[in-house]
Order: sequence, then C-alpha cells, then structure tokens
Amino acid sequence: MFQVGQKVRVLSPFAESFPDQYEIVAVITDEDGQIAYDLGGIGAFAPQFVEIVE
Amino acid sequence: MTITTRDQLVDALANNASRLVIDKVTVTGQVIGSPCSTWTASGLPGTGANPGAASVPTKDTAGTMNFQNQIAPATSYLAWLAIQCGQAAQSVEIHDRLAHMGGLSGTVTAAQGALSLVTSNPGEARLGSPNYSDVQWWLEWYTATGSTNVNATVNVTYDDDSTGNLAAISLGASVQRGRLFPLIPNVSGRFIKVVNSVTLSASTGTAGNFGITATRQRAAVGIGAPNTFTTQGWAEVGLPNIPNDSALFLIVYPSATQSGTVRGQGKIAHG
Repeated sequence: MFQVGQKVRVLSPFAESFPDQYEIVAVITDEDGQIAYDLGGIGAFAPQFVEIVE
Repeated sequence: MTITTRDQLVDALANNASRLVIDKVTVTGQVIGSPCSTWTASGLPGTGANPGAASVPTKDTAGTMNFQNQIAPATSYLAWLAIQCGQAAQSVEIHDRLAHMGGLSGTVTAAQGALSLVTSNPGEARLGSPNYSDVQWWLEWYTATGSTNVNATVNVTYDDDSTGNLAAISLGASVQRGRLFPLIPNVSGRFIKVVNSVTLSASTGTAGNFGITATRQRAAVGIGAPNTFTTQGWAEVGLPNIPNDSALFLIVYPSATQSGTVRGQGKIAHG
C-alpha cells in the first residue's frame, strides 16, 4: 500500500486525461474495505490505476 | 401527406393534435447549470422506472409523454409549447429517450455497463441522421453514489467503427439522483453509436445506481421569470417531427441546486 506524500502516475484508462505526476494526499478505505488514493484536485484512484514514480 | 401549409398547420393544431401536459416536482441535489433528468421525478409525465438491462423506451413507457401515433404518410410535429418553472433563468429541453440501461454500481472499479444503438435501436426515424450525429449520450444517476470524488472513463465505438476512450469525466462526490453527465466524442467529426463500458477511477463508497442513456433533443425553452409561462408557437418551437413511439421526457438546466417545479402544456400536431 502506498503512503500519503508519495508521488504517483495515473495508469490506463485514465492516463491520457491525467498525464502528470501527482501526490497522494489521503488514503481512503470504504465500507467494503476498498482502498483509494486521493490525488487532490483530480479525485481518487483505486490501486490498479496508479503506480509509484521512482 | 405531411403538413406543408400554414392552413394545414392551423387546422391540425385546432382539430388534430395530441395535448402534452407537464407537471413535474423539483429534483434536489443538482448543480447549477448542469443538466438534470426529470425521469424519476413524480408528476406528469409519471415517474419513470429505473432501467435495468438495455431497452428502448416508447411513448407508452412510464415516464414519457403519451401522444397518438400516426399511420404513414400522416406525420406528427411538435407545434406549440407553454412552460413555466418555479425558479428563474433556466432552460427546459424536451428529448426523445432513445435507449437506456441502468444498474451500474458506484463501488465497482472494473469496466461495467454497455449500451448500443445498433442492438437497442429505436428505428431510423427516431435516430435521425444515420451517422448518429443527432444523438446525445449521458451517464444518468438513479440513486445517489458515495462521497469519494472519482472520475469515469467511458469506452465507445464511433460511427466509423473505430473505438476509443472519451476524456475522463470528473463526477465529483456524492452524485445525486437526476444528475446527467454528457458523453462527448473525443475524436473530431465522429459520433458515438455504442458505449462499450464505463470505468470508475475508485469506489465512491456507496453503490447507488446509475446508467447510460441516449437521447435526441426535440425542443428547448428558455425560462425567464419564475412562475411565468414562456410560450413558443410553431415557428419558435421549430416544428420538429415527432416520430411514432418517441419517448418524450424533460431535461432541465437548473439555476439553483434543484430543478425547480416544471409545469406546462404542449401540442403535437398531426397531419
């Protein structure tokens, strides 16, 4: 699991619309236990749609 | 025969018309200037059911305005409208609901849903241009989804059979019943004929219920002062043809965070 403050890039099928690097500002866990990374103004993304920028 | 003269139009309005009656309650939880479907609002026309599998509504489907189908060569034209709203400075559109589907979940991050105007085909008269350029596509909300701010990516097939993703749609948080998000082609000069899937960027936290809807706009009325009728005669409304079985319903562009009440009447002239 990624941490707040880490930089990520957004993956397909959202990569084209969000081509930059973004910082995780919050980690959200819903009632079903699903995790999402809040990337600030561009919204939240499930783990399969982000990867850490090395 | 079709209506080709002013005398025929006057005669049809007076003696051979279907009357439309509109009396819809307000839909809350809206965003100023963003389209709002009155499909699930009670009143007249009645409350539309949340769709399940892809289907083609008709004039006899709950939620639509009924009128008299015609036998060719007789035709139907929207020829008069008088509409008022409970709040000022907004627009009301009448659309033919060509096809719809629902049951999509705000907690699913896999690709879900599909709607094809090829297989769910309302017929060429209702579709309009054969290249689908008359069709407007939407994501439509039937039950509120959760409070996490997410995006949607929609994969489509265009009129030339090419496929691609639309630009991501920022849904925001806590999307409420009635919200409509337009699906805009991402390729210049191409028009959507099939929505292949919808993918959410994350779980919203609540399943809710939303779907895919295809419509064709038939008329638009600008509302000035509240509770004051805006009347359009045949010239202003533009005499759009109303093909048999058209599933007419209302979309509002609200000036507040609710649609406001919408009341009015109209006439579909036959001849």
